Amino acid sequence: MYALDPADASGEPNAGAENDLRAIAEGNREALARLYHSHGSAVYAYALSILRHREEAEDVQQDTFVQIWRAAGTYRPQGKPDAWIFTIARNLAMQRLRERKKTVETIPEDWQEEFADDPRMDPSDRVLAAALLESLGDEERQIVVLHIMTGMKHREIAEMMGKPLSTVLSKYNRALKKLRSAYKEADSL
Amino acid sequence: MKDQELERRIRTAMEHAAPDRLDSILSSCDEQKGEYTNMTTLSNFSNTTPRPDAEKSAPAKRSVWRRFAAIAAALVLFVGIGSYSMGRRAAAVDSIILLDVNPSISISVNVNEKVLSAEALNADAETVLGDMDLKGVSLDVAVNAIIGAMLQAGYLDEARNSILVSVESGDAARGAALEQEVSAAIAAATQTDSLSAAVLSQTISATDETLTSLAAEYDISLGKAALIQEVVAQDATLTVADLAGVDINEIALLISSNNISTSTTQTGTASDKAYIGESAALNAALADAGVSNADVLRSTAKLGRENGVMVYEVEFDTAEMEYDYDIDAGTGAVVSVDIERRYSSLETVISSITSGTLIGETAAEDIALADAGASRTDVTYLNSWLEYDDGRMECYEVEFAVGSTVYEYKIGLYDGTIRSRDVETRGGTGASSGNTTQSTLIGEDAALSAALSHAGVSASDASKTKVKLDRDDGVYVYEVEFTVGWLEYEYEIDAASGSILSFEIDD
Repeated sequence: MYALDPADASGEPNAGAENDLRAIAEGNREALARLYHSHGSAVYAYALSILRHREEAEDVQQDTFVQIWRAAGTYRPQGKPDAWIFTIARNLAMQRLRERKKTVETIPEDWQEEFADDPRMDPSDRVLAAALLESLGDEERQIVVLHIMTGMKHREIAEMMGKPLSTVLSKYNRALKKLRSAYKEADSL
Repeated sequence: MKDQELERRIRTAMEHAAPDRLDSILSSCDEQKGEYTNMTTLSNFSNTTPRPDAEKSAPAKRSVWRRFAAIAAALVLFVGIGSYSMGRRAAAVDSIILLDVNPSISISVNVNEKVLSAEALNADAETVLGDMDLKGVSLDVAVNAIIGAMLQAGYLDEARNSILVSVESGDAARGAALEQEVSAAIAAATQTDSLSAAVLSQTISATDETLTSLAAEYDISLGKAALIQEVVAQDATLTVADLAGVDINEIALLISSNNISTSTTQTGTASDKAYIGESAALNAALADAGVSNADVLRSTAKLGRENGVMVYEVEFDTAEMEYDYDIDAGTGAVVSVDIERRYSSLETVISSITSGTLIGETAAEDIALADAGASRTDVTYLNSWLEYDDGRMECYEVEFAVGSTVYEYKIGLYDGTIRSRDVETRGGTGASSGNTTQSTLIGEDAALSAALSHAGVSASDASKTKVKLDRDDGVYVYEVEFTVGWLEYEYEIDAASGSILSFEIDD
């Protein structure tokens, strides 16, 4: 993922995604590709933080962008394109979770091993991604991913998750503390 | 290490983990567009915003969509709206929005967010809807009208301000958009001086069989069933049968008072104005027990349900007793009470033996100094005080320094026993023999014997015995723990010399 929104430099937050959504509603494929480059890995990481299953998270990423392509016309510009995009991803991921009860998916226990076949990840990437998926609680993980990957403010995350801001802040700080030791390990690699 | 650097590294790791599926996404999108064009050609209805048909966009939900479409078609025929004047897409149910307060209303809308039908799901909802005709109006207008009618009929007021919005849509993006829109419309409609609504919103699925059977069994909306299901799963004291008949406001209060997490998004705070509040509930319980606030060591109060009424579950402890009250949340009346004797604390036992005379700080200092083999003239500083824990006297603490060695003692309040001792040498490693290597250690058995003999306890009386070798600032230390009756002993033994570095006795 690149800088989240090229238009951020203009001082207009999220204007890039907002413009892209408008263009996508008119059937502009380049705008969809742009939005995928700016938001694709964040959507994947968020889905992975909810589902803890790589294939399912990949499916949710794909479904999210297909939904965006179809439904961009229903988006009402309010300066909150990220909240809209990640709410779609969240709903799709939650739907998977509910369906999973019937199929019983197994959650990997060793995430470093899980990521071992991914040639784009170096050993320190694997240590950090595994720490994120293994050592944090469900909400801690989602808050960390939303903040780090999307640049959403803690206040916006609190609003989206329906939690008090103080809860989101303390969960975030606790999560970072837990991740610091993994970072030290990754740093020595 | 800076947080920003940590955040950056995690971001990079996750970027590397993410797949690149753009090509596959673009080709699915092409298929979707193709189908969409096809649909509009077939339809005689033209929409300004291009949207595909729900059936085409969500193949997995096809059966649900068919069911909705069938219901909608029946409705259209029944009420005699000119089906020939509306296109297929306009007459089909695209999404269903459920509003629950206590009145429970189901609104079906088409892709243009025009109301196809509004249905009362319980008797209160019939009162609210009356002969209101919402067919064909836009969703936000309908929501506004329904909320207005609920305010007028007194179902929503200062004391009951919570509304549950549940959106059922074959399409996740539409669902998310509708969830936000309806919540915003409600917030706008309820923004008055005295009332600010709490809106809980969620998306639900009609294909969830557990949910549909739960809703049918208790005659409640799917939305309320989904919320209750999550709540009872996390709080075993609550039941579906009880909560099915309870207003959303009460469920919202139970959720926040008991820190229950749900998949709903909440804006605003549920009103507890109909209830006396946690501190009044605590006072009612204290008054009933004849206990003064000053004697309370610990207390908690939270909302719960008891025999079909809202209660505050109040718990508090005094030195001797444990109290457990249920207080009627509306009236403050005592619903139930349970009182148990606590395990006697060390202080109460000792004070009963010594008839409660405190030894005083000077005596505590003398005891500590004597133990350290120091006199008042040796010390560079000396300080002592009464230590309180949770509002009750715990012990005397005595601190003093001799040269670069700092001593900390805890001395019993009534009998002057040494409860703990900690000796530390500033800038050094204290009363240890320095550069210990593992080969010169005394061994775990010797460490345990040293601790037991200091405590005056025989090995057979001690239980839960633990001995662990630890390295602290380069010095090996045995950490010894054991329990005798209700006393817990903790020692640190110098692993080389066997001398006692610190100990603590807890009741």
